Amino acid sequence: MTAVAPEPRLSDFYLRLADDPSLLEQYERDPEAALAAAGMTDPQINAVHDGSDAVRSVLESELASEPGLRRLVTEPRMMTQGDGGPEDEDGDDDDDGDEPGDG
Amino acid sequence: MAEAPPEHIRRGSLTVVGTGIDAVSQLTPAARGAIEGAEEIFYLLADPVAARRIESLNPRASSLDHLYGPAKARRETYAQIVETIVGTALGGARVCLVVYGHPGVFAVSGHEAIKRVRAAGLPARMLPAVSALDCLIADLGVDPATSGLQTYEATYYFLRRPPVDLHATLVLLQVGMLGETIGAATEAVTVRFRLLLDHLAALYGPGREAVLYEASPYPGTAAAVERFALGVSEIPDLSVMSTLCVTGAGRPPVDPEARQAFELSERRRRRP
Repeated sequence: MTAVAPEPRLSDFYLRLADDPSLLEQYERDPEAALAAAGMTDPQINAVHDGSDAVRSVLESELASEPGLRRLVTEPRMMTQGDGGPEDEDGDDDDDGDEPGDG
Repeated sequence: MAEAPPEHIRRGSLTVVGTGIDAVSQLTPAARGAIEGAEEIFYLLADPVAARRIESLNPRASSLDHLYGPAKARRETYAQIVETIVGTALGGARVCLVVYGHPGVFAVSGHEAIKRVRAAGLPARMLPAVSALDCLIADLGVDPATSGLQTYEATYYFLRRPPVDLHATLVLLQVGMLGETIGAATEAVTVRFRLLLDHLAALYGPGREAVLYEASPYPGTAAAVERFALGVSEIPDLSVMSTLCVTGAGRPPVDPEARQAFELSERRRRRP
């Protein structure tokens, strides 16, 4: 029986792009050709065209099936509150108490 | 990855870096160096590709995402993030905090951690990076020099109603978390967003162009850009990462006293 090669992951392609300036250059010139040359499937290529929600959905399903990588799929988080509401009169984003942080 | 120095000469430090919005093509060489050279590295990233990249650059990297909770106050989370970072730096490690975007723009924990590490007499620094606002300027073709630029966190703007220059571009970040003090958005955000748009339509008059914008974290993939007319068009769907931009229009007239002062200074310059 012939072993079936695993489908290439889009996240692997992105990591290669990050470290390979010539691949990035090729991708900037013709994204579709670069993706196809890297063995990406039509759904993966279409997702890159369709927008970041589509890409995220592809990435999430790729990583969900990988026990070691599943933990990397998290919700986007806010890193500031901006305003604590009417009680936050000093506007410094803290609790006005002893609690550190939030400065 | 750098080896830790012997215990007797260990001296903690902190470097706070950002990946940019697209960690594949916007991570700066300086930020990369700080990540690779860190002994302890913590990250808060919005996307799994970014997380994979940081872990591949430094296998010690660990996520702080577990400190968030859907119903947990974000202030509590931010305090715990700062405690984790500062405690590790004070323990003698060369620490790096990696966040998405610019680490000092709409990101409170890095600023606070730097203050506290410096107060303890240890070195701490922040490296600049590409923020969502930078991406918006590029994607929407906004030049702050043309009519000015006002930027607020959406909840701050909604509650405080700072004076707005109606000619300038107005950018409200975090509209997707409008009024939320917890880790996840609730259904109330949509109601609040409608109130915000009603306020803006009254302020600018109906028909002023607005854009609901979301930068793309992936190279080669376009940003999400939805243009609509305030008070006229149907309200577009929000996402957690949405930014609202009311585009600039025209310029205020020149102030006569300011013009006179300029002319006077010019005459003085030419006087022999």
